[in-house]
Amino acid sequence: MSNGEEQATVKRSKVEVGALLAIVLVAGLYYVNRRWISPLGRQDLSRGGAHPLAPDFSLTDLSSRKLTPADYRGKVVLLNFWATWCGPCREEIPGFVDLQRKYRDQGLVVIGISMDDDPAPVREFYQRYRMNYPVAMGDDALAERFGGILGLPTTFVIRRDGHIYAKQMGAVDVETFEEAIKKLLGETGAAGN
Amino acid sequence: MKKIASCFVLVCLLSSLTAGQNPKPVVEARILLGTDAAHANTLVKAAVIAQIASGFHLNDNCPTLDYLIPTELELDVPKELSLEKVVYPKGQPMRFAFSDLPLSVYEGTLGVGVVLRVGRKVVPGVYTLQGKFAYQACNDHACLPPTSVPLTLAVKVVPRAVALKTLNADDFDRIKFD
Repeated sequence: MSNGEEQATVKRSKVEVGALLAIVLVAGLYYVNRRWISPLGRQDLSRGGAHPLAPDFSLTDLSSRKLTPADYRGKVVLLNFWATWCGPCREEIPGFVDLQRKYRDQGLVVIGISMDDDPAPVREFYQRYRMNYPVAMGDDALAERFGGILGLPTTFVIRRDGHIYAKQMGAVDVETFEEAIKKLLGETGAAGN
Repeated sequence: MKKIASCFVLVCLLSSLTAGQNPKPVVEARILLGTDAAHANTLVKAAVIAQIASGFHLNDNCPTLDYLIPTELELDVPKELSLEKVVYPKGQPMRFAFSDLPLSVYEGTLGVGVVLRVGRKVVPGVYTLQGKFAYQACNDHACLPPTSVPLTLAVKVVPRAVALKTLNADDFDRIKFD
């Protein structure tokens, strides 16, 4: 191969590498764009990665009872951030009522955190939908402690040892939660991935 | 090869900076005047044009269900002006998994019409009104909290002898003021 041909080959290789890098970059930017512009994209019940300890908090529920997650250590907790103005949230809640009824004796506790500004519509909803689990009023500070709540509903499934097993943003069929809950209820100790 | 690698590293760094920025808002809104100025003792038209991100919707100003948060324009006008009326568009009926009824919602681009009256004795000058376009957005399976876009509009009042020019005709064409 002559010197000129060799140089042409090297030049072509550089162009090919450059093109490949450009494709990788565009793909990466597309992913970033989708993730940030569509923060409410449906996410599967996220189980992967670390399982941090669920943040502690102390609230008073609608029945004026103190609500502290530490009191539920040893139980499986389904912690649901919602609001009365959120249609998908309202659709999900009857399923949570069923889950609570079905698995209460096995150690499930469902907790609702309403992000409404006013408790009045929350109380009305609580009674109309015969909610059978504690509901308290949340705020931005509490949402921040849970890593920021981008949209509603956002639901955390918490293991008996207090560690977050999964997080679901957006409404899903109750069966999705039931599968996770049954698994965790079947575990006796702190294990569970 | 070194140059290519350097460029790649630089581009990756720029990309990471981009990734760290705030996500694009679901609604972008601006307020416009239909003319470049106004005369005292006349009506002047303004419009709020809102662009809704694909996949999201806002509730109609008159929501289908009582628990839904309406889209609303709130304006604080200076004493030299008065608010005659606000004209909201009619929403489109859409079906969602969480509702048995079709809901009247806004998608894409919407225009809200505003009619202002300039006071009879207002002297030439610039008069600023403040406001906000308040909304609550959802997609098919999740909802964002209620929020608003701040708006500022400067209305220039000129002597009657000064002719007015039409502005933003395309935007005003989408609004049914009557």
